[in-house]
Amino acid sequence: MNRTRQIETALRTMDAAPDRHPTSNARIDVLLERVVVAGTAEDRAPAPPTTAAFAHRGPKPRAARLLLLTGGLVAATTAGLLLIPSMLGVEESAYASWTAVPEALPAQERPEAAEDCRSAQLATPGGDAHPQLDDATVAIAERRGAWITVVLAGADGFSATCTADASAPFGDGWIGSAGIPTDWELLGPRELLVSSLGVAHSSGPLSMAEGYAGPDVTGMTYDSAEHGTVVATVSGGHFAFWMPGDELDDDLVFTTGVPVDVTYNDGSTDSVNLRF
Amino acid sequence: MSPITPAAEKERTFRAVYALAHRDLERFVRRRVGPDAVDDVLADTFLVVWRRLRDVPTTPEDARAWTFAVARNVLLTQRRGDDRRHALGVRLAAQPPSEEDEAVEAVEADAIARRVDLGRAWIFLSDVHQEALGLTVFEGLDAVRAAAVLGISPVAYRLRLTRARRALRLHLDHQPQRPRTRAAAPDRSTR
Repeated sequence: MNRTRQIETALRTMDAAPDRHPTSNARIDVLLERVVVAGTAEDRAPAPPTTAAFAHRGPKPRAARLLLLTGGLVAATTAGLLLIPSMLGVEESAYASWTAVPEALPAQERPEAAEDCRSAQLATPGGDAHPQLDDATVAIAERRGAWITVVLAGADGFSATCTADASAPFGDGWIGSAGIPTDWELLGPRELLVSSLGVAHSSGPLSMAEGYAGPDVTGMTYDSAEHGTVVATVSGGHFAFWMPGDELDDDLVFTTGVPVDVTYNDGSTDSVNLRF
Repeated sequence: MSPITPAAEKERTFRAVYALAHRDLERFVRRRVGPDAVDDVLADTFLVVWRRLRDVPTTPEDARAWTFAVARNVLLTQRRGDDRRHALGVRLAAQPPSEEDEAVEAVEADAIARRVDLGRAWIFLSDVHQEALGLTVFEGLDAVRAAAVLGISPVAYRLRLTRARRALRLHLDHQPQRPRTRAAAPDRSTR
């Protein structure tokens, strides 16, 4: 037997989890039922977010991560980001009108969309903790089918985001966030800073990426396995895109990151991984 | 007979996947976390399996490896922030098998000493190397499935495994000699 095999045979005798002592059936069954109950409850009704963690690392500013909600308010744990109640009872068919390429909201519709977002944010418990909302201006106002996304930008890096089904009254259900990333600072010309990246599990999962973009950034696309090329809106120092489904899940976000293609004002492009 | 609802079908499918995967997945987790954390990690992992049931591979071996990948990501995600790592170290048994175990009735003192050496050498391995070896030695995965767990190519995995084996041998070969309890031939092979 060669030496590698000898070593690995010896290693197997040192297994920290030998099969000689299997777990009791009762314990196995308890865990199974625990998961079935939790999973079934999650499928039947809007569930709280699985996590509400905000990662801040190193000297570079890092924004808090939005865990897109399916219901209920989650208080931000850091950086004053407020997570907003979301689309209660939204069916997957509600995303049927969604488009991979957004349209800019017409100029005459932007003020109303901005005011709706502002009002909805202020009406949320804790929303009055962001006086910057009053003076925040529209950085992004896009439409994807029946859905509108508004990003409001204020002083010192403040931003507020709202995504809502415009075919229903705004207050019926929307998702969003508001706040300032910890240690926020002005971005370099080609820099990107993520503020929201993740999946909401409602009756229909939704994946969103949103954040700040340096002045040389003019475009961004994401190559979705399910939806093809998803085009982001890049405007006013911000970027945003979203899509139905759970493609931007933790496995992606916390490992390789979300790969996007970025276009700059000199026509050059680059591939970048969005991550916290 | 009333038709099976989608919810009932999903539950039935999940229970089948659970039955298939649970024991091996528990061992996978027990090799990587302390005993107090195992149940919570398993619950989190299987909840992800529930949500992504449509992504579970159809063959049992692929499904087994897929659940390992989910558990690995659950564990790595839990270690966010400053402590975040990109590989999971693998624990070894703290004690040799019990004396009642048939397999070790005839264990000699030299063999015990070799295991101690091996345990020490293992500690000196990086998490990346422990992880690569662990998937082959303890989980018994072939290169394709082990690579899938790690999210790398099979070629990259084989290279990582080769380096891990070499590193382990180097650590084994550079430990101080210890007195043997019996007069026996040296156990070091000639290089």
